[in-house]
Parts: sequence; structure tokens; C-alpha cells
Amino acid sequence: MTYPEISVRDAIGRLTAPYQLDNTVESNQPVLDRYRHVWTPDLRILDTDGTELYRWNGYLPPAEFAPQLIAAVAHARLRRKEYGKAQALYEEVLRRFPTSLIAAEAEYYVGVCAYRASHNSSDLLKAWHELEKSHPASEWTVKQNF
Amino acid sequence: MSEIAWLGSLDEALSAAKSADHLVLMDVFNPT
Repeated sequence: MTYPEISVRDAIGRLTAPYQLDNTVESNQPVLDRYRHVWTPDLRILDTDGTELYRWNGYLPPAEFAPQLIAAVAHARLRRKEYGKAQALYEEVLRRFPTSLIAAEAEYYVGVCAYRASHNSSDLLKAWHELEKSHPASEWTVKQNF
Repeated sequence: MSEIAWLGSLDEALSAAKSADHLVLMDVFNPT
């Protein structure tokens, strides 16, 4: 199980208000319909008005779940235009979980956060240059070619 | 740290997130 692991519990408690629901319970159906639920595990990051800001499906072991959750909250903060908070969380992923599956995505968005905050293209290109070196085979390195 | 304090409803989670400057983590699971 993923949730008993301390890094996962810490990230959930520090960053989120957690809500868990069973998709076999009839009374949960309105929420499941609202979010077009189709498959478990189904994890969403929601804004305080219920707007979905990030989602992923599928089991992750603790060493992958914690960085995925932090990156998910980072992306939600980015979409709320909270660039500093978002960048700090993405950098936390890179510092604490540099070999995680989500690290390349985090590195991509560090550049986006920095650029959105500064409007200086060198901030974007600096981060993306690092991404190219650290994750040359990643889809995120493909995505940063333009 | 203690166990995760899962909230009982979406409204409760949205309210808790708003007051704590958090975001909601919604986890849909199947018990089988």
C-alpha cells in the first residue's frame, strides 16, 4: 500500500485537504458523474471551487507517489498563477526525488514557472537546457523543442 | 505524522482546502 509510507502521508497532509471515495457506493455517484470517473486509482487535484486542475490514473509505489503528488499540486498552483509556490514545489521534486518518473515533467515546468514570473526567456531556456542534459530521452525533452 | 485525515464529503474537503490555503486531493478507489 502507498498511503502508510511517511513521505506520502507528509505530502498529503502538508499540501492537500484529502477526500477519498469508494466508486461502488451509490451515494457517491453524483461526484463520480461530475468528474467523469472511469477507472481507479483515480486521483485529482481540485481547486477550492471544485475545478479539476490535475489528474492521473494508476497505481504508484510510495517512491513515485510522493513526487507525483507534489508535482500535481505544483501544477495546480501554476494554473492558479501562483508561480513562486509552483516553482518551489517543482524544485522540491527535483531536490528530493531526482530519479523519479515525474522529474522530467517537473524540470520542464520549473522553466515555465520561472518564465511566467519573470517574462525573461533566458529563465525558460536555462531550465530547458538542464532538462535536455538530465533527461535526454524524456517526452518532456521532445516537448521543449520548438 | 499520524494517519491521513480523509474528509467525508467533497463539500467538506473544498471548505477545508479553502480555509487552509490547500488544494483538494480526491482519490477514487474500488475496494475489490
